Order: sequence, then structure tokens, then C-alpha cells
Amino acid sequence: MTAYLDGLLVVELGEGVAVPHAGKLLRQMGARVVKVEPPDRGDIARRVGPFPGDTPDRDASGAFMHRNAGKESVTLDVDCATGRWVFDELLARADVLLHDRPPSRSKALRLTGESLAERFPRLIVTSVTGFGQAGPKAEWKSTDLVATHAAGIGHRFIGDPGRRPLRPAGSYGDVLGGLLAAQAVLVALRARARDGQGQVIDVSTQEALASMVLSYGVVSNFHQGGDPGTRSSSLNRTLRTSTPAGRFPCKDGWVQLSALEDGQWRAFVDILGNPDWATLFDASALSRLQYIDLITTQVEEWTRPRTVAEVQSLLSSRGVPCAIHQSAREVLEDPHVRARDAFVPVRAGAATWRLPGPPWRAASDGPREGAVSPALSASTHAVLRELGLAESEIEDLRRAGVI
Amino acid sequence: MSIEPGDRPLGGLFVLSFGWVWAGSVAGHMLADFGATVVRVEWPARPDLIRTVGPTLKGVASESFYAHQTYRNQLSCAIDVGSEQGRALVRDLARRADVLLENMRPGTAARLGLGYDELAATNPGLVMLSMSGFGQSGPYRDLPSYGNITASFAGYEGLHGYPEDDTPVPVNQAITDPLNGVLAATLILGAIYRREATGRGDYIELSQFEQAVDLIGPELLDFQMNGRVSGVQGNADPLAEPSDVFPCAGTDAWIAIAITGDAEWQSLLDVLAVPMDARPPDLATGFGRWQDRGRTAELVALHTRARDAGRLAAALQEAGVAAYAALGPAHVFADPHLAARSTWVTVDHALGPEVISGVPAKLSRTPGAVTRACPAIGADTRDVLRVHLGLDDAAIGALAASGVIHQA
Repeated sequence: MTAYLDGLLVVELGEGVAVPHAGKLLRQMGARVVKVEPPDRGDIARRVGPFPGDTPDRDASGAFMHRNAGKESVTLDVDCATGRWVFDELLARADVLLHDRPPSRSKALRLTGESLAERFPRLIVTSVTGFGQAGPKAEWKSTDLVATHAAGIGHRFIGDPGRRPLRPAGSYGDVLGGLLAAQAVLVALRARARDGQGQVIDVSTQEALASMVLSYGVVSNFHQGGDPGTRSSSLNRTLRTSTPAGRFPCKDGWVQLSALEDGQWRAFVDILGNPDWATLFDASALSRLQYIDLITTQVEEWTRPRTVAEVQSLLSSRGVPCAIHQSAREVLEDPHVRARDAFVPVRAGAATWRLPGPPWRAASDGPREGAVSPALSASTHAVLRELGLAESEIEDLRRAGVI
Repeated sequence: MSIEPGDRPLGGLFVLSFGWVWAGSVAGHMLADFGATVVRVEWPARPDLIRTVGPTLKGVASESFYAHQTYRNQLSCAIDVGSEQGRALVRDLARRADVLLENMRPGTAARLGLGYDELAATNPGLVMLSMSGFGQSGPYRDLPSYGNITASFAGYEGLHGYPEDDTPVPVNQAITDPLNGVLAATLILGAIYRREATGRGDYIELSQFEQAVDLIGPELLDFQMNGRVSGVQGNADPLAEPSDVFPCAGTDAWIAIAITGDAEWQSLLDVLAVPMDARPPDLATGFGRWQDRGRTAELVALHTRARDAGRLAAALQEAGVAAYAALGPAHVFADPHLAARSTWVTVDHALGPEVISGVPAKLSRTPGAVTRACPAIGADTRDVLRVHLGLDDAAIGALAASGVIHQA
């Protein structure tokens, strides 16, 4: 555990991936994260597999435990008056609120700027939604699929020409939105350290994707009259920055290679045996790009009769970036993963699973620890007691279905 | 202390950056966008890859659109670290820095005299972050890499493809890089936050491979729980059926639609004007649609094919259905919703005004801003040496004359 945010209380009112991913990162950086879930069903991710033995179990969902291990689960109906009163008690003690409510529902929860500054002046309120809190489509419904395609990511980068665009795997848009929210929270914490005031942060996943991914090398070019490009079955042809790059066929599979830098290209040509065709152009990226078809064909001819392992080790040893494609099974057994202790044990009920730990190591870190995936409502009673509610009040809330 | 309008939340933070290519330059601009002084150390004879690739602004070879996007707000200080004098200058800067950010090959920083232990001995408050393909230890440590390389090893790259083919398709960009950049900036700010209390900095090493592995958490669990190796994901979403992209009128025009409940399915069919007798009863439930995904997709596609993507999306949203036109970059850059959010900004570059991305996270009280276009290599050398090392014009002139520094 990295102890940067020790003592910080984060309240998470969000489901699925985006907000829980932001909460996960803040938790991995040492914050305490209280996750507020709807009493009847909990976070919708609890319905998403994989489940052990393919048997649905809201406390054993793989999708849920991957984002929520280490958090405290409190059930609370924030949409009723009593629930909102309890929620406000929690916010009064919190440093950060993460939520995924669109503007109309933010307003109902009184989470907009003026109302907040009055009631919780130190609170940093951060939302991640598909289309943000402002703009003509702020109320539009979204999922990771919808926001991702609204940002043109699939259309530009993933899929065969003429066939439908595909979205990036792994809820990529929600993950980017969640990370961006966490970074913005850290900026706001630094501002708060100066004057004690919180603020409201608005993150849209569509905007995050358009601004940080689609635009790269493309938006400025487009406004200067350039062709923004479209998806291709070859990275080589669509990256249009340098070549060779992309997926190349081998005898027993594919390699992913990128000889983008001039020195990498020269080493590659040397491995190829300095063929005559490689002297047609100089080694610079811009010059090579003029010969993209020739280079692609020649590199394919060279990789095709060789094995994946042979190509990967030959290129890597000479400083040319080259990867094999691994599956989840291979990653779990990967020697590098083992050597770096990249996985940590996560307990859900009686079972323990191996999940990726933080992808960083800090010199100040304590031992690399596992975590417990919270059963629905596991911490409701303890947290409400902390807020000063009496046993009888908690019982009343429970009977009324508020918790 | 109070914050005045125009104050920058990260004002006063001095970041020395050897942050290359996409991930490294994103990490720098995420800090610079909020007012940190981010000084990139560069050298004309060894430009960053993204300064050398095309396409370029007005065809000028040194003005790559890639660097123009992610070098914004950062300063460029040209120092030749190939010379002993240059390395000494860089070490002097690092002794005064709050943050040292680098994503060079593992071991390079130490060779330049920029090892954390060495620097922390005189600058205990320094926060140093090293980012690399595979981290600073382990058998793959020295493998050369870019984002697509680590993503392939991590099992992420191979999850992309059409489920009906079950063959992976390539992702045409190193899309894990911006995730790495944002995480790096977040960790740096975390360490700085903690430094306020302890006075001590920290050393952080970030593995881009491990961050890509984190993207396949559910797949790693499915293998552990059920022995299953996941196939390609396509546009599928376990909480929506259908969740896909359907053809619309026009060239390469599509619409993304996600149906998260049975009432929305009926709304979709209403908006698509599917006659009652053409609505298969077995597709009325999520389970039914999931069981016969192919037929579900065909039915929807049949009725979206002649429609205008933008107008259909608006009609579906009006009916409570999550949908958006899935069109190319030209449409996204013209999207009025994004324009209303200031997603794009115009900066003044020496070659003329240029449209790049604004600051995506909107902070109500201390917003970020794009105040400066991509600098030429060495545009800020003199200012940096004067302000941060206190060198006078004579000393700077002597360094320039001996070829240790370069002022653009």
C-alpha cells in the first residue's frame, strides 16, 4: 500500500467501471473509500461475471472485486429524504465525493456548486459521466460503448475498413475517465491545501477520449486540411507516423513489432541482412513512410517463415521493440509477472484470487498487500455508528429499507 | 492563504522532465495544464521520436502534430547530456526540482547521474517517477517497448476483434499510453501531497505492462474461476443486449446503441418504427436477445440502415435509449456538444494559430488552461538557466559557445 492519501475519506457513489476505477486508484494510494450502494441490488457490477463456476453471486463477481477490493460497502438509498440526511452526515466528514449522476440527478442530490460550497466548503465533488455535467447533451444516456463511439475511437482506430467500428476492450473509456477524475482530485487537493476550499470537478468520458486519444496527431492536422485517417486492418498503414509497425504473421502466430526510431530501423535492416531494397531510401521515419508498402511486404516475407519466439528474441536483443501476443492464461504464468510479484491475493467470501496489484512501486511503500472484496453492506452498521447513529436509529433505517 | 482568480493550482511546482513519446509527454502536460513549470530537457541532435514523425504542421519537418498535441504548456531547455558539463547542469536543475519525471530506458537516469538516491541526498523533498515498459526490475526490464508492445505481452491487445470472426484485429494506436501518462501525473501529485506533511519526497517506478495487465482483470479471473480463456470482445457489454454499432445512411456512417433494459428495447423498436407483427416475442427479454445475438443485431441493422445517424441518435435519446452517432474524426471535431465544453482550443504557434485539445477535466474553481503551444527545442533554455540556476548572461553565453546548451 502506498500511503500518500492516508487519513483521507473518499465517498464513492458510482457503479460499473468509471467511478469505481477512480475510487480504486485513490484507495491504492492510501485513502479510505466508503462505497455507497443501492440497498436492493448493490453496484450493478455485482451482476457481472465472471463468477466462480459460472454461478451468479453478488459477493463473488469478478468484475466487481477487480475494482472494489479494499473499499467499505455501505448500502443507502440516497434518493429518499432520510437516506439523503444520512448521506449528508457522511459528506460532512468526507474529503472527496466521487459520483456518476447526470446534471438533473446531481441537482436532486444538491451536489452542484453553490449548494455544496455552502454546506460542505471543503468537499471535492467529482463526477464521471458519459457526456459531463455541462453542454447540450449532458443529460444523454451513455455506456462505455456509447461514449467511446461518440468520441470516434472505434471509427478511427479499431476494426476493418467497411465493417463496423469496434470499441477498445476492458472498458477503456471508463478507465480513462476514472483515472482523469483521480488526477483532477489530486489537483484540487493541492488547491485546498492552500485555502481550505473544495470545488466541483466535471469529467466526461466522451470528452476524455476525444481530447486525449482521438486528437493525438490528428486534430491539428485536420484543421490544417489534413486527412484525419480511418481504421485499418494494419497498424502500419493507419498510424502513418513511421514504419514498420503493427502485427506481422509468423509460422505459428503473430508478433507485434514497432521499428519506429531511425536507430531501431537500422538495427532491423542489419538483422534482415542489409538487403538491396533497403538502400532505396534513407533511414529517417519520414523517408521510410514513402515506402510503406514495400517495407511492409518485405518485413512480412521475412517474418512469415519464422516462429514467433525466434522473431521476438532476435529483434528484442537488438533493441527493436517486438512482442508476442499472450492470453490471460499466459499472463498468469508469465515469469516477469512472477518475478515482480505483480499479483496480490484478493479475498471474496471464502475464496482467494490473484488480481493485479498497483502497477507501481514506491520506495516508501509498506509490504505489498492483498485486499478483501466487500460483501454488499458489510460496513453499513460500522459506518453508521461512526456517524453517531444509535442502534435503534439504524434498526429503523433498516426496517424502512433505507439501508 | 487565498486563491485569486488566475492562480494556478500547481503554480510553484518545478518539474524536470525526461518524459518521451506519448506516455511521457502526457504525464508532463497533465501537470503543466494546471500551472506546474514543466521543463523538458531536450537536444536537437537527439529529438524525441514524436518530434520526428509525420504528418507535420505546414510540412515543416520538425513540427510534428504529435508533439504539438502533448508538448503544450511545457518548456524546452536544450542541454547536451552527452557532455559532462551538460550532465552537471541537469544535475543542478534536479537538485532544485520538486519533481523529476523520466521514461528513459531503465538504468539511463542513473548513468546520467540522475539516480534517485544520489539526488535525494541533497534534495530529500524530490519526487522522482520512472516509467518504463516493464518496470525497473524483472526479466523483461530491458526489453525495448512501446504501448502496443506492452499491451500485447499483457493480453490486452488480443482482446480486440469481431466476435463473429474470433480473430484479433490490431488497434491502430498505442492507446494504453495516455492511461500511463495520467497515472504517472496522479502518483506524482500523491507524493507531493504527502510531502506537505512529511517533508520527504519519494521514488516511484511505474510499469506500463502492469497497467495494461490491470485492464484484463475480469479475464484473469475467468481463467482462475472457470478455466476459460476469453475471446475477442467486439462491442459487447455484459449489461446491455444489444450493445453494438449499426449501419446508417451514408458512407461509413454508424450508430452506437446500448439497450440496458427490456422497456428500452421496446422504445428502440418504436423509434425504428418496427411493426408490432415484426417484433419477435422471444427477443423481448434481455436473455432472449443475448441467446440470439445474431438475429437481434440483424433486426436492428435492418431498420437503422436507411436512417441518418445523428437524427436517429437524438430520437433514441429522446425515448430514453443510450445512443450516439458513431462517425469519423471530422464529425467528432465538429460536435457541438464538445464545442460547448471547450474540448478544443486555439493556441498561437510561431507558424500560425493551431487547434489542439483543451483540458479535459473541468475544475470549477481552479481550472486548467492551455496557455502555450509546443515549444521549439531549446526555446526556453536561457530563461530556465537564469531563473532556476541563477546563471547570468555571460555564463549562459559561455555554455552556448562551448556547445553544451542550445537556445532556439
